[in-house]
Amino acid sequence: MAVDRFARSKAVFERAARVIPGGIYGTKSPGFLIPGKFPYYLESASGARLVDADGNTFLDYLCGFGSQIVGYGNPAVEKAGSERSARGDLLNQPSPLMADLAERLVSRIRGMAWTVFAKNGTDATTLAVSLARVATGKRVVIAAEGAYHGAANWCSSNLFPELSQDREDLVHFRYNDLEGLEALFRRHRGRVACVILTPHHHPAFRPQVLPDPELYPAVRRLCEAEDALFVMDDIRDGFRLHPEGSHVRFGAEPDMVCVAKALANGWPLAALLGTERVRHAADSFFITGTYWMSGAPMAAALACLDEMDRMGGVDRMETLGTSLREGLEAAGREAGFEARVSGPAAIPYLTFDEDPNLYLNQRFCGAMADRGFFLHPHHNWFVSLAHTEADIESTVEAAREVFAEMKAGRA
Amino acid sequence: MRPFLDDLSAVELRVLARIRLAVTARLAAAAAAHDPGLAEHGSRPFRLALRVPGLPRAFVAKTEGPVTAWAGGETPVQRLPPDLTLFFPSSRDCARVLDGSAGRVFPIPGGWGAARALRYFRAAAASAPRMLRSPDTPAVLRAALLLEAAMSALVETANADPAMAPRLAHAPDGLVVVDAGGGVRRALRKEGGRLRSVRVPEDGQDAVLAFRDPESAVAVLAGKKSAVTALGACEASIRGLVPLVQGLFAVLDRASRYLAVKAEKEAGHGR
Ligand SMILES: Cc1ncc(COP(=O)(O)O)c(C=O)c1O
Repeated sequence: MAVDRFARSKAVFERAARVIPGGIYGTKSPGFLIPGKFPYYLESASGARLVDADGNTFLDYLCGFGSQIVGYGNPAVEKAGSERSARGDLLNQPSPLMADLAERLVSRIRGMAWTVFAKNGTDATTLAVSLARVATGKRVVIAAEGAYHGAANWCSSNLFPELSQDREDLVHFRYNDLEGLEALFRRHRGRVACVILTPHHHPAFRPQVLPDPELYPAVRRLCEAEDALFVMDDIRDGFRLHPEGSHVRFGAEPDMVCVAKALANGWPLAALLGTERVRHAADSFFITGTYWMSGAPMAAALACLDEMDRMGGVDRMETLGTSLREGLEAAGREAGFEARVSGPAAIPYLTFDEDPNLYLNQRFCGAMADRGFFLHPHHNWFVSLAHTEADIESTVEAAREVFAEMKAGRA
Repeated sequence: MRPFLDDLSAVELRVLARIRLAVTARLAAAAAAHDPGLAEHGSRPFRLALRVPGLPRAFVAKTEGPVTAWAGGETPVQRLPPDLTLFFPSSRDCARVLDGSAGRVFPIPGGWGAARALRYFRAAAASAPRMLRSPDTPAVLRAALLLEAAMSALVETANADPAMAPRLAHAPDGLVVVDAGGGVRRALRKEGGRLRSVRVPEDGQDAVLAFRDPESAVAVLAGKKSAVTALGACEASIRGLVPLVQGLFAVLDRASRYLAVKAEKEAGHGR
């Protein structure tokens, strides 16, 4: 009988399901991947490699949902974070590092004048929306259909009728659909507090979409005319598309920028940055959380910003991602598949044009997982600075085998 | 949603009544194929309607083929007047009576088959719950009955409960096959905010929710295990358009809340 390579993962899950709703909840729920093909629990990681609870290793392209940018366990980041932690992480007051990091971020993220820190990306987006409402004295928030801005009730996919009031003033347009956006501004004239967008559109289960060149100028124009604010949710893209913030890459001019994930390479830290225009609202708003000013993640973030630049930054991830995209698409074509990698090079996602229902994605990613490559079938991937050219080559090589097997009906 | 009948809003009461009408009618028809005692009652023609003012009627009828049910606004193949109508004066009465509690129901005869229809319905209404309860019932049959009930509850909840519209709008359109194992399969098509039962296609389905075996299907459909836990335990799998199935899970969750609504408040609830 074949040995189950995820036996321990499954055994732990069985125990967990008795005491934890769903066993593992949310985006890490096994059902979001392909149960039986991917591990549920991971034990350790180093660089771009994961080791699961059963001892299987994977070359990882999910990067802790984007939070790993300079590699798991990056020595410089870990040293900075753990040294700060040894001297005291969560204290009554912040450490002086908070000012250092704020200065670094404000001088790095283009156009921003101030920053506040929190833990999760959701903290930052929720705060941004609250500040926009307070600063403008209006309620309506415009977002793109299928965009993810966090797990708070104002924007999450928890569409329970009991919670519907929380999202009452959230309205959607199709990403890049300027007429739709203009129509929303017309319909809600005098009531729009802000537009919140991700630099590029990365809905789950669907190909990614880059912004049309007209999108951001139009957002700026419409916001100015309505006296509304523009919030850039750079939580997923941040530090992978442009060193000064992804908005710079696409010529966008936001009033606030949310970052998290890659900011501290997985140490828990989020930040909201803003322009002078919103400073007053931020000054008067009660912003707090027990853990929000802990020092170790801030030390890790400072080291992470240095490491990103030292390791080649955005340009290197772009180069690696481009090789991956070109290699995968060519390998797919050779086997007769219309495999297409969408999104920016450093944040790729492969789908099959002939199969919007994702059966082929599931076969492809499942077979890649069998070979030790962690490519999410339903969520975009990430390239990190810990990936190497050899990693990309081995991924493309394995993909070539998998496409051939799929063609032969064996995968 | 509040857990007691008396606390439901008027809209929720109507949704619950629609669900009960549909589930009762479908199980009453489905049971005939599996319960020899019932098959006897259902050997001669009859047409039975279940009616609540303002709601689409449900029908159970025996004409040429096997005993068949229609609900949720579907029209029976033969549009003849029913032999018997069980008339519930209100959604509340319907929800109570079909849940086994006291309530008002008036039999209104309309044709020669009235007595047969009543005999059949009385026997059938008890048959499916008995089969579901009995430890001797094979898992495949249990899965088939539960799937029948779940599908009709899903369709009614999706189509009747206004609270489901945003949830359904969030999910893509398409056709889902639910495979409970042991050859028990059903299909649903989601189109905009509506859901309907359709014939299981040979191929071309947009998503498949497959249970490892009928026992696994029973655990989820009877509400003993959550779908997400069953997925993690590899007792169920989703292939294809996952968000379409996730949309159905949300409706299933809501339907199961309706089905758990209690007619009476008992002491010690909530512990
Ligand atoms: C674009 C975007 N915004 C917000 C969030 C929420 O971040 P968190 O999960 O840290 O709350 C995420 C997380 O995936 C994200 O990708």
